[in-house]
Amino acid sequence: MGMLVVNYCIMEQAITLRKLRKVFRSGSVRVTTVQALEGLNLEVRPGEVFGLLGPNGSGKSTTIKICLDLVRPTSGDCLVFGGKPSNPESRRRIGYVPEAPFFYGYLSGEALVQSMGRFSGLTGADLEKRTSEVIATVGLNGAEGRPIRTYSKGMLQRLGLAQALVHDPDLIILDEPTAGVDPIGAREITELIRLLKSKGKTVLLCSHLLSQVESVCDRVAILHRGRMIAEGTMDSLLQRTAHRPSLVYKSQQDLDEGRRLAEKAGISVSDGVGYERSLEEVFIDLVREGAEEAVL
Amino acid sequence: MQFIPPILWFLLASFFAGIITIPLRSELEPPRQDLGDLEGMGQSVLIGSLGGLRALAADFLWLQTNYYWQQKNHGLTETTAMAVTRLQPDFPYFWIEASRMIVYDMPVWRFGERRSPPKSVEKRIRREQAESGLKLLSEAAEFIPDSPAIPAEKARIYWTVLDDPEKAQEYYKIAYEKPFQTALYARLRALILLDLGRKQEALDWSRKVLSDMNPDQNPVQYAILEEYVRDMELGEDPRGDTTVPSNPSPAAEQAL
Amino acid sequence: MKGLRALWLIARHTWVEVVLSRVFSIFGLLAAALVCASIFLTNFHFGSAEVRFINDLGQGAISLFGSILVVTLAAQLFFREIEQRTVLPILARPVTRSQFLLGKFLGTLAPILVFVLGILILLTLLLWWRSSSLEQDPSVNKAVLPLLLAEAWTSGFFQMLKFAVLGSMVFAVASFSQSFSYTVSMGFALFFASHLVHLAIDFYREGENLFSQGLAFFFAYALPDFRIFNEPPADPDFLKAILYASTYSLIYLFVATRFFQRREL
Repeated sequence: MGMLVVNYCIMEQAITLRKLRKVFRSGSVRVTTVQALEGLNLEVRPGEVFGLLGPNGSGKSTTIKICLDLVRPTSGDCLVFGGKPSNPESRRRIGYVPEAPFFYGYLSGEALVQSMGRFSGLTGADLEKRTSEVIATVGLNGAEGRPIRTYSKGMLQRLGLAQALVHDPDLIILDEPTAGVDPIGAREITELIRLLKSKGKTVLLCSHLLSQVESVCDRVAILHRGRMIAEGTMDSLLQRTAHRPSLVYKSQQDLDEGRRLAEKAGISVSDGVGYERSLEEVFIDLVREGAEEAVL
Repeated sequence: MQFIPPILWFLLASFFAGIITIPLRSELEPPRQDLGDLEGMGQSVLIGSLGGLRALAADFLWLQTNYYWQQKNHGLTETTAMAVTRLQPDFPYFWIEASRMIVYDMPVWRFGERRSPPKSVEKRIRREQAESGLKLLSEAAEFIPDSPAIPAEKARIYWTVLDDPEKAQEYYKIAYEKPFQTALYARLRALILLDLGRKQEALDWSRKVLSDMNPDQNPVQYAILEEYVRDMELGEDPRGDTTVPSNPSPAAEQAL
Repeated sequence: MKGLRALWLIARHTWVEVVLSRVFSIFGLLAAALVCASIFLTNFHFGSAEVRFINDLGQGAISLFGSILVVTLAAQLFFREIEQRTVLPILARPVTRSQFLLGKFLGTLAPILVFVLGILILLTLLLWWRSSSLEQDPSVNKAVLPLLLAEAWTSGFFQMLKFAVLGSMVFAVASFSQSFSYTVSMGFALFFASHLVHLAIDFYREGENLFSQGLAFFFAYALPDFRIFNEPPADPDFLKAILYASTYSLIYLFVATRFFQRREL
């Protein structure tokens, strides 16, 4: 009974990695080996946004490619919705956005999304409907008829998302989805991830943009040199106990008044500095203001 | 599998394909050709490498032969013409044209400045060139034994250059007996037999050829040969009052 | 049916890539130009042999440019997908690597077939035109157009079989090769070697010791004999030729799919 329960739990997982090991070999005369993954154990639960973090060369992309059968593991198991990735049917429920996506330049955005939809089994009116929907979702309306070779990097990224979502997959794997994208675009992609989560989709997000991961992921795993060095929820990782709670005021005057009142009440105040907005916030506000003025 | 280089696996798989297709290959492969005389032009490796371009290479080399022919360059004309026949030995045209250059054009080149050399010299030179041409055509017969054009060309050389009608009629008979049974060669043999005074043999031969012919397949040739037989039966020369010489040129031969 | 659908989709994409590629346009135009240049042969007054020369030019154009196209396009299209990573979103879907490779192969061969047909049609028109003109020439007994056309189209068919074998060879090499230049070099090397297998056969038959005979036997049968496709007889056995070409093609494609299955993307 216990075993049944365990197996049932495994079948429920979106991704299960058990003792996953990958060694890359190159050369035929002088063979060199690179250990990309070493005994990785990981589970991604259905409906969660899971972040995969790590520096360059830590094994993030290798892990993703093993889940997609683009790379075969040296040893260990990988299951996607309970099935092996080498089975094409397992991949029917997956949408994948590669890092810096590149597509056939002669196709239009719409034609590419339709093509990818066909590969996933969509046809006819269903395909057309889904294509229009995802193009609107990713914000490519108006550009879908242009050849892909005329697209900017940000547009290519959106197109990558569109082709990954056209067949309404249950698991979406994003490999550096905001690489080369401007802050507004990155924020929109973050919002899209939240939208997917709200629809019950599972998202595996591979990124080294920590602020994005922090804002959207339920759980994260941190890889380093092929090993997992940390895993858990955002709270558990950030240890959000009241270590140094802070109060934010709108102006320097309010801050001074607040400090005076706190000290009068016998509360010790360790520091009081003006809150500084981040460059990202300033940039976004300025751009948005500029866009509104142009409309007026 | 990872210790064996992939290219070796490729060759092994290819070898397996080669083994299981041995019966097919033995039926499909072209007949072996003796290309051993190609020292001057290139060896078998070069010829084999040309593959599907062999015919094209022969054509371009033939254009070059024509260029040397226009320059009246005896040596290069002969060399390139020989090379072309080896490159494309199954095409009678090259053998015949090469032999015509040797037999009919080169004697004139050899005369050089002397437009009218002594008769004995002219005869010797023409005989030498004719023998070279005949030798070339004998080689051709080894490569294309079924071609009627080769023995027909030999017959013409014996008839028009070497003045040997006996040999000429023999070769026209051989030419006729090859596939296609060209009626022209049969008629020419009949005329030569008449010139040799063997009228009955000429008549018997013409009747035999006529009986082998299908009038529907070649009505014009049939009608001409029928008239020949009629004339010979009446004791007349089928050539009538025409001034066609006994030794016609190739063009006149075609007109017959 | 699903497998065929994926195959068809990939073949269609590949077809468009080939047709849009400069390599295809340039060599296609060069081949057509070479065939059309045969009209200058009229200056030489070859008589009835001229139609044969025109035919040889056409066959030469198909053989030369077709072979170059097969080797370069097969390698280029395969490596472009790998290097630009356009293969990743496709293989992340329910598409097998075998379907991908076979689709690429068929999509490469289809435009080559169109190329061969185009040159043959052009050749037919030229042969018909010159043959009609030459009938007025007194030095010509009769034009041999029907025979020559039959020969031309038969040769074109056999060339197409050769291209199928050559293409599958190149895909097999590409499946384990790490570079485009290696694939192209090996492709052309195998192309030339396949024209010279008869030398290995001769060596095997005349071999003096067991080792050299064994080695010669291996090389004699390790590669297909392309002479079979270059020099079809007057009455060719089409079925046997198709069987010969298919056997090699299928085995090479099997090798290609096996290596591609293991390839890290």
